[in-house]
Amino acid sequence: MVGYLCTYVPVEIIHAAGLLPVKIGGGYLPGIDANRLLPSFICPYLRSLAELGLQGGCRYLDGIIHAYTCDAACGVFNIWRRNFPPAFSHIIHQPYLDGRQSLKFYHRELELLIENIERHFGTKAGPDSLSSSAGLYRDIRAALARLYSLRRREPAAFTGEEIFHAVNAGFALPPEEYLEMLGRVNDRIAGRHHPAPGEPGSAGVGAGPAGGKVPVLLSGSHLLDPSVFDLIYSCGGIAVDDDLCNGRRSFDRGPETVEPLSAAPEADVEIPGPLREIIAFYRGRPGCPARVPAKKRLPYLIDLARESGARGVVFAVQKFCDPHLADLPLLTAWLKEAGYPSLILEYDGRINPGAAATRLQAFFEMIGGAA
Amino acid sequence: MNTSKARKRLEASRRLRQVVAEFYLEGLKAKSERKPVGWIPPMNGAIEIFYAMDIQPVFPENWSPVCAAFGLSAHNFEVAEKMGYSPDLCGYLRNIVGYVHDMMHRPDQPLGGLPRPDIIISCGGGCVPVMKIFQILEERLGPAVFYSDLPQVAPEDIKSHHLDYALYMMEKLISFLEEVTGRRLDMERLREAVRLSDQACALWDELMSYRSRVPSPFSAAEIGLMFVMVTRQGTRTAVDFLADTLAEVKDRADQGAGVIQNEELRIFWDNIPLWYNLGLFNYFEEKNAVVVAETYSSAWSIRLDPARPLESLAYKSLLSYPLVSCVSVEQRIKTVLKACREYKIDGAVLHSNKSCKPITLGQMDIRRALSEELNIPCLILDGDHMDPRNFSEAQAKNRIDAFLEMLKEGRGKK
Repeated sequence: MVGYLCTYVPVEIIHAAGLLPVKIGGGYLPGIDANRLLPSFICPYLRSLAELGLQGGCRYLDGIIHAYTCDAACGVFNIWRRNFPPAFSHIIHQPYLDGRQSLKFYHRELELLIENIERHFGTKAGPDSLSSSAGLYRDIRAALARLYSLRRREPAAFTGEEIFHAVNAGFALPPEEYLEMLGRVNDRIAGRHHPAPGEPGSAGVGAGPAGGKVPVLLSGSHLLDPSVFDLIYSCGGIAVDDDLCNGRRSFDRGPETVEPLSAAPEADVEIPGPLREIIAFYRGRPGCPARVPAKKRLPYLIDLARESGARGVVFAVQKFCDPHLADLPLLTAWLKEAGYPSLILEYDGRINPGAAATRLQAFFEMIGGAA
Repeated sequence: MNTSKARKRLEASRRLRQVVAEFYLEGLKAKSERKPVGWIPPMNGAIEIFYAMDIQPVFPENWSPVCAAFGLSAHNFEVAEKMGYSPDLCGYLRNIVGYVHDMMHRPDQPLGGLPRPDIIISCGGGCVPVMKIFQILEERLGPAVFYSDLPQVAPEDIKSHHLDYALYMMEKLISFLEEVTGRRLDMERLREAVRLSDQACALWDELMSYRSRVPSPFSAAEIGLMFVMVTRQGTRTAVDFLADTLAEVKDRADQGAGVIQNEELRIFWDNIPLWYNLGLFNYFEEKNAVVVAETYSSAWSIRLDPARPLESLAYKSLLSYPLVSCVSVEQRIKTVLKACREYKIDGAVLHSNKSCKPITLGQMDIRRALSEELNIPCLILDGDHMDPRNFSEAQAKNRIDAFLEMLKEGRGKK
């Protein structure tokens, strides 16, 4: 079992080598033990990881892998390696840019990952197993995309937290089992009776698919506190889609504005089949602000908001998260120009419901009234 | 008052004032003469190329300590925070964003202010705040932008494909600059810039080595000397300035002249100093302690091979940031331990710097390594290299007093 910190880690490769990839850290662990390893001004997600390590929470892991995203995550990865020495560790360096040389560079990084895994674990991640793992994760991503599209059709039929947990289960479950579960969940949802407006169980006459709530897009990094979905709902809104690290960004193939690999100028780079698909996914996926500038995130957010029918964006941002915090002033101004007002909820581990509720209610009143 | 200027001993510090003024004046002059001006991040190996192509470099990050020295940062922070930039973000980012939004357009600025850029190098590398600074400035100032990439690889893990990629970025940068400015890069001039840069590094290393003498001829209060390493690498100015400084320091060292008469304790400083309170280094001196070495000054000295200019610059671009950040905690520990041995350190002050996560992360491991391997005690000092609101001078001095007393007591027992 191999742990990883960031959803830029190509889980297909770990799986192809016969190992189970598990994302480290599921929720917020409050506590001050992390001060033994980290300063106080590090985001609660990374401080939770340090708490987890200090509690001996991941001793069962056979190794850890990270893909370089932000400074703080890289630092915590290195501190983890030093303080809880894993039998195996590896960091992937990702190019920031697109283009032929960047692709060649990234390809070499993934080859290195494969070589190191094979050498340490004595297993083989050959073309056949890579191809089969790439196919498995392709199906998982398609199933998650289907789940999200079912929510878009009738968001009030779900709690946002249900969808959130459905995505997050995939960070720990064996992918074969997870795919089966997702299939069953999707079939059950697609087949269930949807009461028409006015029928018992419906949200009310004229309530529409959002159940009379103000539809919003939820954006942020690794969401630690899923209670935000209920909070949004109880304040008069509903999250109809998300742009979260441990949400849509982990499986989405990216904005349509990104050209597919075959059409890109780097098409002549010699990359064998399965790795080509894996590279295409991780290079094309929607960007984390540590990996792309705000202006590259903007069209994706606008597309998501438009396609999901959101009227505004709620940013749930962890305290001390430099990449997200630094993007917000430009991003929120541009979104406003595009007709999507936004609200920023900065939180330190857990969202303070009292303070957040007042602001959410005011925000929904403002954007709901403008519809 | 959380701010205080340093009292300096070297004649070089007086000459430095002129070097600083000339650098900023040169930027304004370049603008008025329609010479291209480029805003660039430090530590990416581009400065030598700029000087070789006669493009005027401007370092927005470096402008922040200048603003701190002139007491302008508080206003810049206020402007940036009103724009929505969180007070938890790096002070360099908030200072320059606030400055560009407001003060840059005023007529009465210290040193004449910064000239508007024709070119910006926006780098996918270094720390996140530096990346974001240039992405924000690009939107505000609208110059020609070169998007660069710089993988953050631990020095011990650098492989040939990392070097190839960094080299490719250098070549791409040159093509971009040639296209935008209409100037051709003369490889001979680049070799000369690289030779001068290497010479500056050699002089810098020698200069720093004199601080291992007991008593130390100069202290961290003179850290402003680093200005030439940040802004003038690749020029005769840096070489001449450092050569003169070296002569002065050598002379002091030969005469046995120390920063203070009675140097009882030798201190190591980890992380960026408090730019608004360099006087804190003098406070140590009042207590017969001298800060004789620091991590930050080692980041600017990477030897280059003039016979292979582009390869050298590519390597330098890969190495600079990881050498001082948490990209490699192991490398940093090694650097700190080595410095503490060479400079005969009695105690280390680890500045827990709210404005710089990459340098602060790993300090707990450094503390443990210093204690276990060298029996050197550490003081963790909360602060911020740019924002005095995150630093309490009274509290810091209290803690420094207790730390120095403890060191002196421990020394007596040795």
